[in-house]
Amino acid sequence: MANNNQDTTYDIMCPFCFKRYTNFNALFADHRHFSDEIYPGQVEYMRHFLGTEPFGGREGPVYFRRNPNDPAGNVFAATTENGDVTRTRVCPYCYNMLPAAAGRVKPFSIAVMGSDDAERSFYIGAALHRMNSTMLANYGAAFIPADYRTASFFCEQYEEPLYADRTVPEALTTITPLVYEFARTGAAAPEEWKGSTVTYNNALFYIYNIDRELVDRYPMIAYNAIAQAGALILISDAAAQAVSDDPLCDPWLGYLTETMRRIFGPMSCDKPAAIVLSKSDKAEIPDKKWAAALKSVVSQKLVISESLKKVFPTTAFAKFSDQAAGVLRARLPGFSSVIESLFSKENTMFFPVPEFFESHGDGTADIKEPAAAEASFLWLLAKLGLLPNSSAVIL
Amino acid sequence: MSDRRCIFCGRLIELENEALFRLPPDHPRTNDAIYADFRKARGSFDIRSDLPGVCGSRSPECLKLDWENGKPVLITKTGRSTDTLICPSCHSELFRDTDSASVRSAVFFGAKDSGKTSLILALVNNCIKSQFSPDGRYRYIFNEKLYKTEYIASEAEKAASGGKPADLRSPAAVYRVPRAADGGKAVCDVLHDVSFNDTIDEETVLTALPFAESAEHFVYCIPADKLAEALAADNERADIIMRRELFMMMSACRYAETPPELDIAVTKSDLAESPSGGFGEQVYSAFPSVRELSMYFSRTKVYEAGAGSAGQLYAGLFG
Repeated sequence: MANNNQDTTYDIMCPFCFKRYTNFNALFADHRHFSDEIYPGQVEYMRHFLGTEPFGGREGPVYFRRNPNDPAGNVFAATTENGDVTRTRVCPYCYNMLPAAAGRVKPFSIAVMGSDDAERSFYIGAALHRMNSTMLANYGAAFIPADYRTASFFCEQYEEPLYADRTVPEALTTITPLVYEFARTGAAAPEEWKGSTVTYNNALFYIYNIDRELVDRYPMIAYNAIAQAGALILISDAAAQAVSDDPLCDPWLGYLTETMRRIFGPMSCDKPAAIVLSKSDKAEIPDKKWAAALKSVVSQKLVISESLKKVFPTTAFAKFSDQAAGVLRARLPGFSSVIESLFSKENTMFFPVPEFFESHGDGTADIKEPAAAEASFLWLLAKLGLLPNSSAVIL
Repeated sequence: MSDRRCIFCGRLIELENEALFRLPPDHPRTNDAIYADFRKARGSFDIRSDLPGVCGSRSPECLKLDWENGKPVLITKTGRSTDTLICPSCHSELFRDTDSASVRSAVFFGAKDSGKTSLILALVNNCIKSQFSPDGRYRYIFNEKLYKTEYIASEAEKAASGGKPADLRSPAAVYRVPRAADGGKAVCDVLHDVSFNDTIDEETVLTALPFAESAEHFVYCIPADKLAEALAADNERADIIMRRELFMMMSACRYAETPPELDIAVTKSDLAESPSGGFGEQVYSAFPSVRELSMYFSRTKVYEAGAGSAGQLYAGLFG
């Protein structure tokens, strides 16, 4: 596993058009000179996929390629026509602005898929909001928006409605990814945790909220997001699952199977997948193991290691996940068989979680158990080698 | 040869290769589009841009580049000479004592009516009135080419009496000149006023606030009454809004080689009761995100920006 504190550069993966290229191919933007030149690729992308006009219809900056002999120093800076230095880079294919950390750290993308009414937006809002505030205390790391657009979009679309207004967020109208930066200080050397090595101190996350309707509208982006994802989060409404052994009874499972088969073919997907079963407290599953698994996710506790560092209790979660999987196999065989056929067992973890938000029916909602949303996200970060994890049991 | 930093756009100019001069005042005037564009980006729409042309060492009008009394001078082929240096990026004037080691700049930002302009006016007016730093080590000299002393005094008085002063669309600059006995060079302290409209989207931030990348201090202004409201509120609205405003400005310095310091100035402190231990604890409990975001700044400090504390705040920011 590479240590990205030592490697100088990574390839860039554009979060918008998914093209991969080296740092030498990125374009630079000169924000002190304006151009009335139209970039058809950019206009098409912005209009069709993000529903906006480039620069709000204003003149845009001049884009240029860096001269290989540029005196500006490294590949992350270029000298403009009038001798100024710019560090703002854009994708050479779709002309969208790249995050500042692109090409400096390893990019990971996470696709969040879910059935309708499975609280997918609540889940993303709760998990990211909570990680914004707990990562520093728990892991000495920051998990914050990597660019202005994400900060603004996340605030308007998720945080303000959920945490300030206590209202239900409106349905998404764009498929814009959320770009987050993970940064950990003071742990440059690789760490050994029961045979697994954690070496990444910085990473870039592209998080795609894949709505079923948006998949139909923007299949190019949605399918690419799932195919390129380093990890998947699947949110399913446990209360709405039909107690049947025929998966075709459930349109969501049929749709999921079709999407996954279209992308990954007949083989099961071997990417880490967190199967989040929302509203599990509302599901009529009278089983002690189910209740125990539900309780454990809600009251997740970090483990303090011998070196007094906090680690994610992966093994403990695996135990409860196995219990939940066993219950699902018996109680919801249709759902269970679909999941087992689509995802490999060793990279899948079940997270039965209670309802994230309690809707009052008048458009207002109250926050419930945000820690449950965070657990699955943290497990993926541990699985991707970003957070230390432990085989110790929960203390 | 030395370098100069443009206090308007933050560009560092190597005089040997990049020096650009404004032609003498009586030279025929033309519309300076670059100057006009930069001023418009900063919100000065009524700026007059009919100015004498510009000339550099590579311009056809240039005869030679010379030095007089330690200052670069350009002599044109018509025999005219000019020593008015301008920035090649924004065509604003380059002032003396602004080499890379001598400029300390601070960017003041915050929500609407958070007292940014009033705070800058109070700080600058205090320098003008007191003339010397509290410890007597420096003499303050205000750069009157940007704003007249009388204008600063009247606007500061207006702000102090509860009025709303006009935004400062150009930076305010104060020279700190050390005592001759102490030796050392004069330092230029630059104070930038960021309007709420400068941060409406990422493109605007990058276009209107190029100076933020080289700023050493990001001063976030939060009125004391808003701080008290945030403490009393039962939701996280204030923290969410504050984090968003910080992110807006952070996108301007995301590419900087050295992270700036974050200074949180609690303004309008007469509107709330000042706690005995200062506002520090209150700020951290009302805005928990400050701790999380402090990883991205070289240092985080909280100041009380009251009527009588301008001198201490200025010294805390700039030394």
